[in-house]
Amino acid sequence: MDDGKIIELYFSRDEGAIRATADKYGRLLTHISEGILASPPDAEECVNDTYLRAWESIPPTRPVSLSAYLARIVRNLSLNRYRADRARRASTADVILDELSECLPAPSGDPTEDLALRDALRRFVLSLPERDRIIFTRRYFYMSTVADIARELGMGQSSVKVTLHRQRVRLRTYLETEDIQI
Amino acid sequence: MIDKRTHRLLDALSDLDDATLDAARPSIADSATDISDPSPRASKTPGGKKRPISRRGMRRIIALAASIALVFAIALYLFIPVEDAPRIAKYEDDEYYPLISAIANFYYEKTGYRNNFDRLLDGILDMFLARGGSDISPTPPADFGSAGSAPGDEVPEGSSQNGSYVEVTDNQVADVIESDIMKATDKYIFRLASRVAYNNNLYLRVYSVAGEATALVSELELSLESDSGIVIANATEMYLSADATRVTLVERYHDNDYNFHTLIRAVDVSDVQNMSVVGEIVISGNYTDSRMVGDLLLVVGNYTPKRASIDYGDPTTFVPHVTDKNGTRSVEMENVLLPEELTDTGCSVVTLVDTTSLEAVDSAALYNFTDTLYTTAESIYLVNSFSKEKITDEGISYGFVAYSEIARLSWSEDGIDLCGRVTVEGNVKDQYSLDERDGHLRVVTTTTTTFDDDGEYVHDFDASLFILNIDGMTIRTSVEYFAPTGERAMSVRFDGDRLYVCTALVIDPVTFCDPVYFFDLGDYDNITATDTGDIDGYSSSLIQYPNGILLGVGEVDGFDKLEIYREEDGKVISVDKHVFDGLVSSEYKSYFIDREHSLIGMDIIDYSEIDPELGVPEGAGRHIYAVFSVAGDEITLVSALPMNAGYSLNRTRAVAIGDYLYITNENGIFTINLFGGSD
Repeated sequence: MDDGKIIELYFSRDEGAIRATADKYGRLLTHISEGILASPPDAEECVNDTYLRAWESIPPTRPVSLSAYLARIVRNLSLNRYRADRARRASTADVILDELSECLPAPSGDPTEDLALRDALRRFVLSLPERDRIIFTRRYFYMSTVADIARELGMGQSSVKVTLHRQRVRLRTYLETEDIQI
Repeated sequence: MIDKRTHRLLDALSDLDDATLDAARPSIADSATDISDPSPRASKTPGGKKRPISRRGMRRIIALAASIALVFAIALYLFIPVEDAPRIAKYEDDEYYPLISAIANFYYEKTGYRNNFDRLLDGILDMFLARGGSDISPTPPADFGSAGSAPGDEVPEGSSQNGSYVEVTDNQVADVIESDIMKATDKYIFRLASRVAYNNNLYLRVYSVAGEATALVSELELSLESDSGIVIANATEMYLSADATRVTLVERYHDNDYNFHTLIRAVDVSDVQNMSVVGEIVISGNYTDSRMVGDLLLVVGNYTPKRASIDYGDPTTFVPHVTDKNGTRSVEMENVLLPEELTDTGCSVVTLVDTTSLEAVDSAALYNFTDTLYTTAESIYLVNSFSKEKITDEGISYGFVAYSEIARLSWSEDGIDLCGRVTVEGNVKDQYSLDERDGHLRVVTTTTTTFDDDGEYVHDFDASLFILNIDGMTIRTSVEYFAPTGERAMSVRFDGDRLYVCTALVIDPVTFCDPVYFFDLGDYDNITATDTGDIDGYSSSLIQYPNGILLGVGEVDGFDKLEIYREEDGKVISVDKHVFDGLVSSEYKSYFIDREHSLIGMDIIDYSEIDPELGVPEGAGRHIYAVFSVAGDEITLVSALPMNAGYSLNRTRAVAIGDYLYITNENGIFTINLFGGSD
C-alpha cells in the first residue's frame, strides 16, 4: 500500500493503518531493533511500541517519509531499552558504540547544545559522497552489520571497514574543526 | 571508551534527514539460519557389523605406511633447518662492517638457506638466472670524447662572448636548476639532439638567437660507444654554466655486461666553433635525477650490487663509488644510511660534483630509498615507498597500506650530511608533491590500501596532506583522506601558501571525477580547502599563473585537454576548457610557460587538421606548435606554427628571447614572432 494511503488511514483513525504499517515495514523495524537488542522478544516489544507511538502521533504529524519516521521511533525505543537492560546480550550496538567513541573530540569546553550538534552531524553526513553516506547511515543509524552492508552494496567487508574507519577519522576532524563539544 | 558522550553522539545521529535515511534503508534482512554439523557417518556394513581386514589389505596398508615414512624421511632431510649463517666475522674490524653485516644478513634471510631444499633451489636459480645487481667497474670508461666540432654558419659579427644566461626550464625551486635538453643565453641556444630513432648518435647543437635569421652555428657529435660501454642517447640532459662557457652532460651509460652507471661529461663551449669534451666522471648506479646550484651539481642514481660478484674484502664490489681524475673512491661508511631493516640491497647514491674542476666533492648512499627526489638550495629529500599491514587497536586488519619514508639530507659545497627521516601514509607521486617552505616540508600523498576482498586483491585510494617540521623531521599536522574515497592524487602544485591538487578515480581506461582542490596553507593550525566538485577527466600537470589562475593539462574521455580554474566566492570553478582532437605532449619540460604574459606553448598533432576552435590556418596540416593565452576567462589561440613530423612531441622545447619564441626539436629550430607584432 502506498505510504500516502497509509497515512490517510491514520488521519481517518482507521485501525487498518497499523496493519498496513506492519505489513509494509514490520520486517524493517524488526531488523533495526534486533540489531540493537539482539533479543527477538525485546525487539518485538519495541516494534509494537513503535506502532503505538505512530498511532498516537499521526495525526497531527504528517511524516514526509513514513519509513524514516518509523525507523527513528524504533531506533530510539530500542536504544533506550538497550541502555536500561544491564543483562542484555552482546549486540551490534556494542561494537558500534565502541567505533563511535573514536570520533569524540577531546573535551575542551561546555557541551554543545543538542540542536547544534544534530545540525552539525546532518551537515557532515550530507557532505559525504553518496556511497560513503549510505554506508555511514546504514552503520550508525540503522545499526547494520558490516556483512549486511557489504552484501547489499556489492562490496567486500574489508572495503566497508576501511570506508567506515576513514569516515570516523573525518567525523572527528569535522567535529574538532566546528568546535563541537559532546 | 564508551561513556555518556558516545551515547549522545549516537542519539544525535537519529536526526538525519528523511532523504538520507530512505537512500540508505536496508533491504529486508533474512532471518538467521541454524547451522548444525551433520552427524558423522560410521563406516559400517549393511546390518551394522564391521568387516575384518584381509591379508592383502594388510599388505597394502603396510606398503602405504612405508611410502609415507620414506617421503617423511626425505622431507626431513630437505627441510630440517641447517645452520648456514653468513661468515663475516673476519670483517668485524672493517670500516664497512655494518653494511657488510646488513647485506649478508639480508641475503641470508632472503634465501633462508634454512634447509637443504632452499640451498639446492638457490644454487639452481643462481646458475640459470645469473641473479644480482650492477657490477661496478672501478676503471673509468674509455674515451667518450667528442668527434670534434663541425663548424656551421659563422658567428654573427660582434658576438665574441656567449651572452647572458636565459632560463629555459620551469624549475620547481628558484635557483635550483633542473637538467634539460635545451639551454640558452641571449645569444645562443644549446640543444641536444638525437637524430634517429635508434639512439645511436647524439649531437650538441648551437643556434644563434637572431629572430627569423636564426641558424645553426655549430654542432658537436658526442661519442656514444666505447670499448667499455654505450651511452643511452635519449636519456642525456645537460646544464649550462652561468657564464655560458661550460655544458655539463648527465647521462645513463651501461657497460658491456649491461650494468648501468651515471656518466658526467664536461664540454668546453667557451668557443662555440670549437667545442670539445674535456673530462668525465663515472658514478655507480643508474642515473635518475640531478640538480645544479651555482657550479655545484647534485646527482642521484640507483645502485644495487650484483650478489654473485660481491667480495666483502673489496668495497668496490658492494659499495657505490665514484671515479674521477683523482681515482676511485667509495662512499664513506659515515655517509651510508642503513634502515633498521634492509628490505632491498638497492640504494640511492647521492653525489656532489664541482663542475668547474669536474671532481666529486662528497657522496652518500641511502639504502631502500630509490624513489622521488626533491631538492632545495640546502636540502635533499629522498623517498622510500613500502607497504605493511595495518592493524587497529581492535585487531581489525585493514590490509596492506602504502607508506613513504622521507629522508632529508643537507648539502653545500662542504659536502652532504645525513639529517632526519619520517614516515607518512601514502605514496608520493613526483617531485611536485613535496615543497619546503619556512622550516616545513609539505607533502601530498596518495594513500593506498590493498586488501584481499574474498580472494581478489583490491586497491583502495585516497589523498592526504602532511606538514612536517624539517628540524627533526616530525609530523606537525595533517589533513588525511581529503579526497572522495577511491581517488588518487593525479597532480600537485605548491605555490607559496597555496596548494593545488587534482584527484581522480581511474578505472582503466576511463576516469571519473576530477575534483581540483585549492588549499590555503597560510595557517597550519587551520588549513582550509575549497574544490570544484566532480569534473570530467583529470589533470596530470597543474600550472599556476598570476591572478589566481590555475591551468590543468590532462585528459578527458581519452582526449587531451586544457582547463583553467579559478577560486570564486569560496568555490573553485572551471572557467574554460579546450579538448584536443589529437595528441599533446605529456612531458612537462616540453611546455613553454610564460607566467608574465599568461601564455602556454605546446607541440600538438591535431587529428581534425582544421580545428575551428583553434582557428588553425587552412592548409596548416596536422602538426602545429600552438601558443595559447590563459588570461581572463578563456583559452585563446595566440599563434600556431606548422611543424615537421618524425620526432617525439616530448622532445620539443621552446624559449622566448626578445620578441621571438625559439622552438627546437630533433630536426632543427623554428621561430614565432610572439611579442614584436606582425612582420
